[in-house]
Amino acid sequence: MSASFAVAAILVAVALLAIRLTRRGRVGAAAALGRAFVAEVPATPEAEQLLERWRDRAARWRRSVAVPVVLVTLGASIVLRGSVDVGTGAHPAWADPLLTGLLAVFLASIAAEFHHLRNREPGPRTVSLLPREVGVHLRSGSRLRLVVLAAAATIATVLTVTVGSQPFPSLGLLALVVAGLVPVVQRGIVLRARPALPDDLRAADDAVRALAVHSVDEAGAGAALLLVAWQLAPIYSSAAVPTPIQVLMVAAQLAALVVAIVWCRRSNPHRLLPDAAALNGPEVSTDVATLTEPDGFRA
Amino acid sequence: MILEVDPADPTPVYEQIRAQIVDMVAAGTLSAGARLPTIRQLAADLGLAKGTVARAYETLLRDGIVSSAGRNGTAIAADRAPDLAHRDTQLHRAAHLYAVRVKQLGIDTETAAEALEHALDQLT
Repeated sequence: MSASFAVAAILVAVALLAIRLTRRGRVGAAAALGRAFVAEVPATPEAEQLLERWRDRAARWRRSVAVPVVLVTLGASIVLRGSVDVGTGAHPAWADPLLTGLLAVFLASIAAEFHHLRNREPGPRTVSLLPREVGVHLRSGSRLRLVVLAAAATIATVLTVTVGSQPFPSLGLLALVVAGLVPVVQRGIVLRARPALPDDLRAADDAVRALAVHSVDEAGAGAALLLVAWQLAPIYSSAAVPTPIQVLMVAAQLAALVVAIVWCRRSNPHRLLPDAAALNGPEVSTDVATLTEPDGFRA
Repeated sequence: MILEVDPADPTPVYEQIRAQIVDMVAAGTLSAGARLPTIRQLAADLGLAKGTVARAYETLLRDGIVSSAGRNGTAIAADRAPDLAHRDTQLHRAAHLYAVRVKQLGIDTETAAEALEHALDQLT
């Protein structure tokens, strides 16, 4: 049962860490990194517009994907009286909608960033030679958190097959997919095409990338954590697991539930960028009539 | 540090990239140790195949203009004294081409200077 204890201990540690950070007011550490990029953006109308458009588009995707998914799952759960089960096993009616809701938020945060994929217009192409790096946009703990979540998902998956009653640990495997997908998407966001831009738009574009990277990070971590937590159910339901461990795992599951929701909320674009009009950067005199977006650049 | 390629130009695109980086190194715009974007980033930004950018980088590597820094990507190789004469020649050639075009279009000097200033502002 040492492995069961390890999963529970990892989840408790993650929960305690998150709660500690919350109490210290450091929940915004990652968001602060994104806002540091925002603070560098010169206060021009075009830069503000670029940031606001990202925020509105990301929020629109969250609403239009997550809300219908939650309602459909909730409706199906009620109408079909529990016969719909996305893999959480014995659970209350809100378990499936919560899980699908967090996954929908994660997928919406990715989908919002595909907006930048576009056909290039013909003609000369001008770009900057400044290198862009994913690490610049991430706080140091982000990668570690994903590694911990992937480790917990692996252990939970193995335990579900060996100790639990479930032959196919779908949620644990899905958690691994989510944890693996996050860095890939973040790399895609940072390295996606960018033409040469004036300083204000370049800074705004950097800020948009930083905020998007952070949003995907939080939404992905929240979804992965809830998947791991839900994967604990078939493990602690097993008769082979001693009662004290079962209690500990249920406690860890509940703690993980709270933390997953907190992380998911922190990915909200309106929390990340409350007011783009309040840019802190140096004010730049611009002539709106002449300063237009370069060809091919659409945020 | 700006790079511009024109796929419609008869000069191969990889050669356009190589020549511009060589010019920037000669002018001192890119100094020793300056990191270049990854092949993937530059290919995405320019909308080119990775192989095209890789070919330009390989040529630069072979000529000793850049060095591979492993996981840190590609960087400008050892210091080279900026070739200011070369830079001036390039500048005057570009200015001449612009001046010819301005005259062909019948644009006055002030408007041409404003347009040039605006174009410079649009670039990082």
